[in-house]
Amino acid sequence: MILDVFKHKLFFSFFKYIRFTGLSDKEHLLITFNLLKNRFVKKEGVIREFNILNFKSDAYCDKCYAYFIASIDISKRYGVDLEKNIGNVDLKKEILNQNELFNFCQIYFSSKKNKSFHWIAQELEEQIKAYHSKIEVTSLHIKLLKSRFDFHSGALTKKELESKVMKYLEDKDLRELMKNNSFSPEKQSTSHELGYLLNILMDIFEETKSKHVFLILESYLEKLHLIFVRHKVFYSTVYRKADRINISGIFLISKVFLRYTLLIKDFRYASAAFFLIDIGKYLQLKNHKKMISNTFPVYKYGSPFKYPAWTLFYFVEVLDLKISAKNLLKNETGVRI
Amino acid sequence: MKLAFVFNYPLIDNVDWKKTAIQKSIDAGYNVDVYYGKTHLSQYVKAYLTKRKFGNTSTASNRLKEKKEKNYSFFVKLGIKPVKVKDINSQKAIDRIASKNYDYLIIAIDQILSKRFIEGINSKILNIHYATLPDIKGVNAIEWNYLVNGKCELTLHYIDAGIDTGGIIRKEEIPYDKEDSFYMMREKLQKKIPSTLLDFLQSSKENVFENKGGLLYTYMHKEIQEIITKTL
Repeated sequence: MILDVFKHKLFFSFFKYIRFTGLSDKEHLLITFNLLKNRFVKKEGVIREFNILNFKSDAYCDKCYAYFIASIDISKRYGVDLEKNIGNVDLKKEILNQNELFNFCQIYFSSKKNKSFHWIAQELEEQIKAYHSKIEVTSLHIKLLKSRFDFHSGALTKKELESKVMKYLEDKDLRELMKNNSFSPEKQSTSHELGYLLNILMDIFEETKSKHVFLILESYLEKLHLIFVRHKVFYSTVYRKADRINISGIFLISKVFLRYTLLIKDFRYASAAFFLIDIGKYLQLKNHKKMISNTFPVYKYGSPFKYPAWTLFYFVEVLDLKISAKNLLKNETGVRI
Repeated sequence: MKLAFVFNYPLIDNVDWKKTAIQKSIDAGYNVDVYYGKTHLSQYVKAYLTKRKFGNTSTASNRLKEKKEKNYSFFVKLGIKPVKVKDINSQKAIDRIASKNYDYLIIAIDQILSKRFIEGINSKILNIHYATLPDIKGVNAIEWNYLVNGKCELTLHYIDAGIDTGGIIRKEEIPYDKEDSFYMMREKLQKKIPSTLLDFLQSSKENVFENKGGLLYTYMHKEIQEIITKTL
């Protein structure tokens, strides 16, 4: 694993010229499922991360439990069952800050989507309601997530949710958006948080079918695509070149790009996402344990020397969406898009 | 009329349409010069690696396999001594081109011209784009145009400071067979370039259409190309 320091330095230095590529999507999915099953998903929960020396973290990752639930159905489609690897995870905790609110909302939404976990959503709804008004939320994507929760729990109507989205995002360009989107007010937000925001916005659009929400989403994605045309990747700062790439960030942006392609059949976004996913495939293949670091190069700020579970879960999601986008293309080329 | 053609990579350039277009221009009585940029070996390597990174080196390798006469020696035989410059956007190249006061520069290169170049050369700049403008701007234009419009088209247009945003002069649709690969579509499209270009140069009317709107495309991922190629 420690060799990644040297490999990543080399790959990043020649980023412009290295062809990032890997195995087929299904092969990477199976590698990742096995990795999650054997190393990350334990009876007590999902292990947060491994470091470059291959030591696992003591903590279990709450938000990864959400991604674990979301991945169960995907894993079954590829002949793997992640579900039996985990026991009853203790979620009865106080929600003390916006990050914990984010984690719990994520678990709430993913358990609501999966029938076997509906009971968790029911329990969490009360728990989140009890805390969420007392917590100061400064990050835009968590404000959006909280509003989405309020809509689901009946505290907001569709129109009110739409107004909230407009209030938070209208007239904010990408730069402004990123100023107020960090998990921690002292830190600059990255592509990671932006990826969350765009996916939450997509969720809200899918649930409300609001034209206004769609127009906001469309304008951000068009701008992001222009940035991709220029840099052929998203650096952690998103709108300019930087000395690192947040792999979780590019996976989350790929996710919204692919969802958008599936929605409006604009394959510019799918193509960009395919290139971004290739970086993840390449880094996974080059790693001795087939893990993917959160930051590329691995030693740079933003989870340095860490291989978190969430990066792998995002990878699973984008690979599955990529396969769907390819199927859409195969079925659609008879008719001009 | 004074024309200058601007190309890249003199050592490997053997694309037929350039030979035909220049031969026809000379036959029509025009004064023709040729400029070659990207002459340094490192620029060939970079171009190869970039093409390789984004999934498509087949066009160049297919063309090189054909072992046709290189354009550089063909132009020399025609009595044109191509001017080699390392960077077409350099001040040295701009001054040299500007001093000749060409009526038109015909550009076929894989780089963006600088604002300094466009404003400094005192000539109108023409380009052939391998898709319909304003709809499809950017690279892998044949592939994107096929995916989006189901057509094989070219657009003759002026160059300004944006990417494929200069005024549109004319568009042509090229018929293709169902079995044609993108490489074959490119070949058919390139065969049409000399006549499109000469028709324009010889015509007295110059209608320029607005080139607003459309979308900017970048490299099409190999997996997408493979899927849509199967349906060709």
